[in-house]
Amino acid sequence: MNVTHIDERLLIGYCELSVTAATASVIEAHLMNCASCRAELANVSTSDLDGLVSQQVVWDGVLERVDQPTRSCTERLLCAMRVPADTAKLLATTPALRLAWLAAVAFVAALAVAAGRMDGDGPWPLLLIAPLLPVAGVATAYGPALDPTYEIGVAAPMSGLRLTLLRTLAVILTTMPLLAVAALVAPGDGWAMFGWVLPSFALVAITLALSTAMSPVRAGVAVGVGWFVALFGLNDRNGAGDFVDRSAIFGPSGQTVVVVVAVIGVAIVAIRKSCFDVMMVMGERR
Amino acid sequence: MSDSTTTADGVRLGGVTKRYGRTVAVDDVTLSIGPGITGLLGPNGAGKTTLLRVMATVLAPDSGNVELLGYSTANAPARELIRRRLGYVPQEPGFHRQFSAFDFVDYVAVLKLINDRRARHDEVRRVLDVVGLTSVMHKRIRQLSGGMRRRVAIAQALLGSPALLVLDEPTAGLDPEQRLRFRDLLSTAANGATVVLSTHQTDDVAALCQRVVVMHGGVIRYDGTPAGLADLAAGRVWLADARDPSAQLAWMTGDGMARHIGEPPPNARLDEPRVEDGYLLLVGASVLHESSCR
Repeated sequence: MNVTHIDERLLIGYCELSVTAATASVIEAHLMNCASCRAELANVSTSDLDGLVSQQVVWDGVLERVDQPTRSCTERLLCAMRVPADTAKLLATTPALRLAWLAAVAFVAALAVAAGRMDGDGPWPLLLIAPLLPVAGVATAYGPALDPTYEIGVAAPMSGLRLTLLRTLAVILTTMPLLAVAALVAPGDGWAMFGWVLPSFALVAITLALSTAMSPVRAGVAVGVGWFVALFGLNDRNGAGDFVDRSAIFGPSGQTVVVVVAVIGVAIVAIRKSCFDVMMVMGERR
Repeated sequence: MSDSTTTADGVRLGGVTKRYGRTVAVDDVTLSIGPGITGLLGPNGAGKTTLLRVMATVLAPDSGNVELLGYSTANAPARELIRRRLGYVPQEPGFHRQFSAFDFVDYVAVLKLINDRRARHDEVRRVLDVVGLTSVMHKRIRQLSGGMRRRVAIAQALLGSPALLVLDEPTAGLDPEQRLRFRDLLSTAANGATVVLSTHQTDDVAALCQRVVVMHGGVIRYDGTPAGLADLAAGRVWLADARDPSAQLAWMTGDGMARHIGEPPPNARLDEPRVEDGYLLLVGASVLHESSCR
């Protein structure tokens, strides 16, 4: 009977963990049924590698390959984008990285673009709505209401601020490109269509700043209400037919104010960063 | 009562008070807990969960000093040092829907800054093995039974063999066999560590704990050994054929006898006190008093 055995070089590669996962699987399947190759593997482990690779190391390698934990699509995608595995695991739980969230953002942005085209409002619907979408993503990224592992996370040594900022970054990197695409197809002229970008950063910064004193969801709602109050206030002051005085918020002077607001938000977060390391009870930082 | 000022390590609370609005959840509690298993008993709303959250560094007290493993929790860098050696099971641990048991414990291990992937995975397998979940570790958590989920929560607390374990009702939802297994694993895990667990199960306290603290209304009502707690009811536990309608603390037992605590009912015989009797004597009457005042 013609019996095939595993080449010694392959066994050495297997011990060195330098073979592919597919090759390792084939080797492991063969080892299960071949005492001769198992003995050869033991020899390789102890002699050819000058004792550098012990059987324990081999077994660890087998465990690591065979017992590989499953990864979610989001985690695999993040790892494919060269995000470190640890960070990918932390980010994969962010609601804003789920398909449902991205679909919702795309849907709302499409509605805003359509409303601008149909009612002749041009860019305004998108400019008004766009800054609130990253805020909604950040408000739902961390906190007792929406993160089931929140309390365990607070008791862990990883900084709460780091986790919050990681998830905030994930929200920005997924939501803003979608909004940018919407801005490109929305009716309007040139760079004015991107007037929502700086307000988005400012509102996110203020949401994080308010999160040092209340739950992120409450902070997000407060920022959303504040955004519309500010816009209607400007509208009243303008007294014109425009829904919003464009020059006030989306023009150069308004954008300068927005940057100042963003800086204030970031400063508050930096000063009160330790607030992210204690738990919120009943919607308040305790 | 045990001396609450001589223990060097573990937990040291000095005049800790915690309020939620007008409600005082924990009222000027001073307590030291050293290595070994300490049980925290008390009725719902006694302040146990708030006190455990303070011990787990997730809540800061409104006033008072909290020192854990020799470090003050008021200091942020020290708090991180404490958290590296802390295991915590909250009262209602949650899980991300998409996670398997392995994924979840691995996720917590990342939060616990166990950065080397190989070492982290080995540690995750170890703790899942300790709680007896190796065979189902790649199953989605939502497919596991309530008892298994509870064990997953316990597994994450054991990551890194913590020096301080804070467990809020860890045996809730476990069947009797699982509770026995839990007692066994906790006895092993507690080797040299400071373990504080809250529970409603007085038999868990009797079986597991060297020390028991009874809380009620945010204050400590008893601090000592389980045997000492049982002794509080010595000479005051009575068995009778029928329940005395005038008795404040009385209930029918499984063998058809009426167990009374306090004054003897007619035709009763004295019985050996249990931990439960001492506990009910401490908090049961006041609970009844509170309900009668409403």
